[in-house]
Amino acid sequence: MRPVSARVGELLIATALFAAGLLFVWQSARLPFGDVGLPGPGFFPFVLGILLGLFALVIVVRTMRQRDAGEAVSLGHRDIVVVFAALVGAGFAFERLGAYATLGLFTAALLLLVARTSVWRGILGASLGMVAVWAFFKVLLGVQLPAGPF
Amino acid sequence: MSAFEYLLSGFAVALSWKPLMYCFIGCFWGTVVGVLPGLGPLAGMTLLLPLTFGLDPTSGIIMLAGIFYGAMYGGSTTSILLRIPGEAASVVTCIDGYEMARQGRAGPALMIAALGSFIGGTVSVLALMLAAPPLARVMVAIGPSVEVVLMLLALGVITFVSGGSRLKTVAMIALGLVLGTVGFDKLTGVPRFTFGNLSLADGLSFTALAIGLFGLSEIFINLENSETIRAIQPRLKDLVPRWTDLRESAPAIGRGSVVGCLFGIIPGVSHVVSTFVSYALEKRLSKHPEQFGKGAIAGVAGPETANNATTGTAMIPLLALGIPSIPATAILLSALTIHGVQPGPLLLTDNPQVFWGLVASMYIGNLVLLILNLPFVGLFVNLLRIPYGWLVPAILVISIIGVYSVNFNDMDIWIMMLSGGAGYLLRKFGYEMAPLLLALVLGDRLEENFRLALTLSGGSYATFADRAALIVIVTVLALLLMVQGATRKFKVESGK
Repeated sequence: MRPVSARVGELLIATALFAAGLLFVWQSARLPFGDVGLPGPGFFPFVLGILLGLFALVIVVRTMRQRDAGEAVSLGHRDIVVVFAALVGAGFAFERLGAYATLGLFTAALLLLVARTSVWRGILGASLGMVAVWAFFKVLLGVQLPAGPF
Repeated sequence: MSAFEYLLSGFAVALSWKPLMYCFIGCFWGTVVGVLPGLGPLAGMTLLLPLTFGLDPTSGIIMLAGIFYGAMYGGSTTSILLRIPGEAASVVTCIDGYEMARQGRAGPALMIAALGSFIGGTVSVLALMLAAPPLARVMVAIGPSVEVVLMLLALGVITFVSGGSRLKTVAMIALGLVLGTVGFDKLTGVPRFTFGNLSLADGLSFTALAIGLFGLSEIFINLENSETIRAIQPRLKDLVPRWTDLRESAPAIGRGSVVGCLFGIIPGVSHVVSTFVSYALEKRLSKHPEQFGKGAIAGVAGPETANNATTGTAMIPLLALGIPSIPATAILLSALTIHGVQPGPLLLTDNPQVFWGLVASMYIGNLVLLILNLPFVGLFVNLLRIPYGWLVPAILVISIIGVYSVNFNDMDIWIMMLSGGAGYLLRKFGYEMAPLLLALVLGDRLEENFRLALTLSGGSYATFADRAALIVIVTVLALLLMVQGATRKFKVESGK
């Protein structure tokens, strides 16, 4: 895991929130605003964007004024990175490769890399899991999942 | 029809095979997530939320409610046997519950916790049944301005009772509200922040965001400390409490029921606060306060009863006013809305089968949980032996399919993934997800009612301070002072 200074982390998150606030203010300024008495569709997000930006700015200022860097926060555990990467892969492949193939590979990868099983146990677990998914979602609940090219 | 006849019709609904089966599934899954440290009722509910879309509204809501109160039962098991609270409302149970287990009295502690939970849960459902219909009749008469005041107060109370930084909490509320504005404006039909993408027309998928922010971020955090745990194993014959245990627990269970029912109505973290208040109350009223912290059974009976007694009354604001007061009821609101059922004053007249079916199912569910939690306590404890790495793929596969099957759009998988990553980072730096979720749920209705109220009043902001609104504000402020007083008293008495 990678230790990150609490101060740096706080600043990065508050800056991201500030940027999100600015984005909403900028985009809502292009919408019909109405007036204070009879607000239009742009009014509410505009005000909320300003509030979000302000709160984020206060967090930034408070963090900057703190003298100590605070306790380090550990981020990026190996298993979290693996799970996140597997999710990104699943997001790309889900409709292209089909649900069962994607989720089968996804399960096998996580069993091998996170549960640290042997290759055969991983493949067997993923195959049994996909049979269970098919039986539960397709047969019992009638959910139509993308079949992919297969 | 009288309330009794409605209740009978509710039992007819809840006892038909399908709702009964989903009540059992909900209670079972609730107990499982309650037992597993790190997976609380919220993660449990959000993960199974998509599965309810294929069900009728009554079965779906019965299952989700079962997870909510089932987790309260399950949470006590790990508190008593491992000194690890399965979820936040079981923290207090660790104090005396684990001490009892160390003294070889885990059985009576588990039995009394289950019995107290059953009684507290049942009393709470009774309170829900009696309070919701008259409150709904009053609420039918109120206008959008009072609804705005109620929603703002709910968000204000969340900020007030939030455990972390208030500044971060209000930032999360602002973020939730502004994210709620994505999609077509309901009053004018103008697209907002969709960037020409039609899949954003209905806004960001609540299910994807909720699963990401709560479920996925929880999995990420648990992956950092996933260890297999060894628990104290009680034998079935040891479960029977002594006569003195029952005599000492009975008043605590009675008081815990009252405390839980009262605190359940208050927005925020009512189920957690109620356990602290109940513990402080029992310690104060006890003839032997020095035994607290050393295995006093009243220290288990009171808090465990109180946390379950909040479950029914926490649904009063949702079912009677249409306003969720805690994240768990926000998820119930989302499930009902997806099914086209609008919770609120008209729920009892438009969809009485949902309301009374839910009430009846909660009576049944409490009984199911009592049966599940006593003889099968060993089975649930054994769940802790399953390595977390094996649970993760199973939970994630269910989440991916569930999120996808809401709109059949892979963009929702991306939203879930990104919100999970964002939720993990935010939580690591002390931002709470509950205010964000509540604001997200309330956002579009808050805006709609705000603009509607101003239109009706000809642009006058005085409409938000009329007589009805003022009564609501004063009542909520009084409740807040009560919570603050009770919490402070607990902190003083427990020396925290």
